[in-house]
Amino acid sequence: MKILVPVSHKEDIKLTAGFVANMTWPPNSQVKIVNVLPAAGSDQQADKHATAAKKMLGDALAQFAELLPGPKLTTEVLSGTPAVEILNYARTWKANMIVMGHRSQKSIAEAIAGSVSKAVAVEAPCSVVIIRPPEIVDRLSASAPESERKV
Amino acid sequence: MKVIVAIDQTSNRNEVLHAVLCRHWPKDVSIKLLTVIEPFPWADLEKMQKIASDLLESAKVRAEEALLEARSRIERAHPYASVHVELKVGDPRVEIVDCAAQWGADRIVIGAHGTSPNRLLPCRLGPTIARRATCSIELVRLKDTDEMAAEVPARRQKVEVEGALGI
Repeated sequence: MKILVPVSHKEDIKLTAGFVANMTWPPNSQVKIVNVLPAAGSDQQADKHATAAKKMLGDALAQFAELLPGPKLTTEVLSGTPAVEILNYARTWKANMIVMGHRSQKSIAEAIAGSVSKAVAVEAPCSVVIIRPPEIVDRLSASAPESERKV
Repeated sequence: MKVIVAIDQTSNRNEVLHAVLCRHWPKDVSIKLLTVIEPFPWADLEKMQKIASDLLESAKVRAEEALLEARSRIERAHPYASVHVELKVGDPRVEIVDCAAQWGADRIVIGAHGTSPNRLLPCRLGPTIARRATCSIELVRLKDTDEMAAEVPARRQKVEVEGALGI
């Protein structure tokens, strides 16, 4: 089984690692952790993004390896529009599942990240798990009024 | 951990159940099997009320049978899990999300391509729920016919081997 795990933030790593570690995977499963680099205005900025991506993927690999001794773990850096790159990679790599974190929308950057998980959920060629952190679940459940639940 | 497994009365529910049966759930998992039956769109017409009512009752009976069968499968696979069923009538897009919020579900498991069987125009329920849900959600991709056909020779070979071995 092939599991694709896109990460864009350290919170994603924690959420997705917890989910993946709590499941029993078939033998010879593979986990691919990817990060999509944003478009950069200059070579200097591109190098900065690439360095940050490699560090994040290194941290992710360490966390996953600690929790998940079985499946084969690899990482890859992609570049382009996040949702498009994730979906294309899922198709070419023939992923069986995509596991993504969905963070709160406190900032514009996080709102954009949330829209990536939604776009992937709609267009994915395989099963998709979108994980919301527990504190977001508690806050949203408590505050959502009845009127906002109408279609 | 609280998990809502949303299933319908079509054969697609087997894919969703397969995903649940194959998982390694925590010991304190509580699973709610949920089916939402959408009322027929023409049920308000005076001349159609009796027919709509009969059809709804028939749909409820089929849904209850499917839910109880699903519950027994999950209980056999995960004897430590607390499993219960719920049948609702209404708009699935609203009822599933509301049920998850009211019950405090941690995750919803639903088919990625299921549609409401009584709807005149198809709607992709899974992605709609993913947009509206306030908890984690797993969209189970339903295998298409080509993939299922490709699996049949492998299964047949496995059965033949097991038969030869006297299993």
